[in-house]
Amino acid sequence: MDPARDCVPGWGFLPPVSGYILLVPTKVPRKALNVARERKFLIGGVLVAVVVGALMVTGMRDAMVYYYTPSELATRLASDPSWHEVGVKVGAEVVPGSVSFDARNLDLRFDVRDQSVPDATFSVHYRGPVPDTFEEGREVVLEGRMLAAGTFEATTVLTKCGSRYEAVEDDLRAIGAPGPYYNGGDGDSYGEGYGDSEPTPSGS
Amino acid sequence: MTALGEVALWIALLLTIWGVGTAFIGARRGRGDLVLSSERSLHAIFLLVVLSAVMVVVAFLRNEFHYRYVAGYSNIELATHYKITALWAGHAGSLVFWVALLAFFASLVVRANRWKNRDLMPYVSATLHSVILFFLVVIIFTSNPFETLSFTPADGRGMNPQLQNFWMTAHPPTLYLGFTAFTIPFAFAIAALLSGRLDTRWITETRRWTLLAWFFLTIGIIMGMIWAYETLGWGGYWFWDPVENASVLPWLFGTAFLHSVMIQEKRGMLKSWNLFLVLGTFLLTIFATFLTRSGLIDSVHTFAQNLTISYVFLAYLTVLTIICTGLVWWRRDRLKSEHRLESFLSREAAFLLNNLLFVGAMFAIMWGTMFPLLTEGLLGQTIAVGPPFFDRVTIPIGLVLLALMGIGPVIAWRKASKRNLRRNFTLPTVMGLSVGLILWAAGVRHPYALLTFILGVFTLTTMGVEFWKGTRARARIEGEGAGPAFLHMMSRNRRRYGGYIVHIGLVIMFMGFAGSAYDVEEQAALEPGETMSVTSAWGHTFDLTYQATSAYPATNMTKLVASVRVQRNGRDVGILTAEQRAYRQRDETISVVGIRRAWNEDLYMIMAGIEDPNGVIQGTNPRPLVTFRVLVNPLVPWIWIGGILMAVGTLIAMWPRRGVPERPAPPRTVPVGKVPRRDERELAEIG
Repeated sequence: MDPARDCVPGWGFLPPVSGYILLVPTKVPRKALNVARERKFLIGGVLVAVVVGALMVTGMRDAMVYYYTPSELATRLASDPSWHEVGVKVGAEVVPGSVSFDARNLDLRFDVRDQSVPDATFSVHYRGPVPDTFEEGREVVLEGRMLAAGTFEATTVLTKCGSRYEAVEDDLRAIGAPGPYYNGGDGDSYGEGYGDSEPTPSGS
Repeated sequence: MTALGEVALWIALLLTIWGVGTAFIGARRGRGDLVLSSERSLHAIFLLVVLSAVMVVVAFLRNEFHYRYVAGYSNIELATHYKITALWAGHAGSLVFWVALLAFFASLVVRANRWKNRDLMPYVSATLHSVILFFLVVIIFTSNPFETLSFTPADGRGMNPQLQNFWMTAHPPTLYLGFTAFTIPFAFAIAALLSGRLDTRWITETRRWTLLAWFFLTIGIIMGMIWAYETLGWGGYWFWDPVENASVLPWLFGTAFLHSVMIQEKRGMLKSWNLFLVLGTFLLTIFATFLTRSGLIDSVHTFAQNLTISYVFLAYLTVLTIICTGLVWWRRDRLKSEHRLESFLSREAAFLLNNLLFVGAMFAIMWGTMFPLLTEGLLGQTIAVGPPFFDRVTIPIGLVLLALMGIGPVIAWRKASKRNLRRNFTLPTVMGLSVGLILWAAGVRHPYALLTFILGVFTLTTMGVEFWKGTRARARIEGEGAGPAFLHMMSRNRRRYGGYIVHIGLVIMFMGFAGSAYDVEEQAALEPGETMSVTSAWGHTFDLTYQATSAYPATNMTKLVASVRVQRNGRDVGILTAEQRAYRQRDETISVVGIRRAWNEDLYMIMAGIEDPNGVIQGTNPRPLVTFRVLVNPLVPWIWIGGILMAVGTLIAMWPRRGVPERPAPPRTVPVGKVPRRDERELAEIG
């Protein structure tokens, strides 16, 4: 079929490539002149796109969560206290020495701080088990809201996935120094290993 | 010795440049010797990269902590098998592993196409070389596993405890196999575009490769789900985490392609659409690597570390997109459709709708995943979207796809007659609706769960009827018994019936997902001897009596194991244990759940908290209080059964036919020029 002779422009005002990307017929065979039918399919395709789009828009409305650092959240709350009512996500670092866990009631309390602004800290309360690989100094992502009293009531606490954890040279130097594990044998060292929560003896 | 690995990478890098050059010059000048040289360089690269990967493993086994990578992901007391899997525990090693797999497939392709597709092979070789080149550059210049530290630490930091698990050993390699295998269809697509041979041949030649890639990707994703279910300990298997989403994006495109390719084979339609899907799938595998490896999304505020890698991947993605678009635009004249859609009620239309939905789901998930990054870049404020967004979009799409799985395979091509529709869909509709009514009567009110079962039974019925009709027809014509007729029918039409089995597996899996609407959760703090009870959606009452917690030292951790006696409706069904494992090297604790599996529901127990763990370890506190979280998740086993069926179906669909040798291409398509003697002899034997 010679397109020049046998075709009439369909959505010819669009650049021809759109036919391949948007499934829009830029040329329609004159022989069939199925403009109506082509259009029907186009409408079908657009309908699918609209439905998916509508699902996305309504989904966004339910699921949008602002993501703050502790210092950003503090600024936001200072300027507009109504943010106490809004659920937010906060990425922060667990302050060493601040963790307390009541295993009977699954009541976890700890402080977090901003990694770039060490002064920006607040307390977190979470009802649930200690998340896996949760530890002091670890980065966590909290979801929940900041109560007016100044405590963050978390609904979820996520520990950052460790597979991207790159070794920091200082940590490795610290490992070079004998840790409690080498002195104390097996069981005693539980809870006081020589991970990155240990202060680094050799500094830099 | 292990430094040899880096040397091997450098030689491989030089070879990739050689391979791209010789392939192009060979194709242009008709120099068969150069093309052969390019193809053989892929074999050499495969060996070199494997050598390099082996050297990384050797470095792990020999505890060579002067390598930053080894020191970062292993330590002396790590179990030997995890020292091997440490190859893909971190970024640099997994890239080497990735390239090794890619080179493996490339080498296989060259081998499989010695006598055919000679017109496409130079470009295939060039494309494969260029992809390997990119990854080698990334490895050597940004994430080199052979990078050394200025000192040698006494021990390494150890492997992330969550990776010290069987499923994490198996999941990444399987996923990578899927990702890398998608490079082969991509290479053929580029070859078809460059050579201008855009008939259906490149697609039929790569069909099995696409299936292979899809097979591994599917299994890899399901293994990831099992891992999440068994180790993350929150009771679910899917979290809409960016890393999870990243693996699903190419899966969705690849699945769309596997369907639309049939339209091109049968009707000569959707040629450019298929190209778009194949090229897109590959781009999405690169995009997925970029997402998982750059850490851009997860750690929105701490990405400085891997910024270089992000830019490199973004640049590569951009260049690839431009090249692909340009090539399709250049060849647009040869991508004309041979037929047009005639009716909404046709198999073409059903497949087209399926494709639009897959692509729509892909874009929606991509949008949700990228949203934090987009808002950060455009508004300066990060806004994330949570699981509700993904559920809202994907569940309706999944339900429509569920129905299409029943409609697509049996509706007529071109235009379905009323008779065709009535004959094929009356029974399935009746079956689906009656199951819906039964479930409603039984008290199932959750709309999505109800719809899943109605549509699922509808689809299962159409599939069952298809199998039954095929078997009956064969039994009648060949005079065979039902059993042999069934098996022969399957082996004669592997692609079709394999596909049906994949569909059946997926339907069963969807029904398993629907069970999550009826998960039950209880939580209690128990002293030894105390009992908690939980009643499942099926009405079974589980009484769990906490007995004791004991400590078991292992090589690099201490296990705290809590044992619980389980009674189901008052009858003893055994002991269930859940653990907390305290790893020494990183001072991290992870929990290991206890799961009692039954055909209809999982009893899922998490040891959420323990009082005085140190006392238990030291033996001073033999009766600690433990807080348990117990879930009963209905139908979860069916997710895994569905997954196994999907894998089996894919294997059937791609299994080569026995006794049908690959037809050697006529000699004229073997590249002209100097062909080595041995090859000439083989050629003469084939005739």
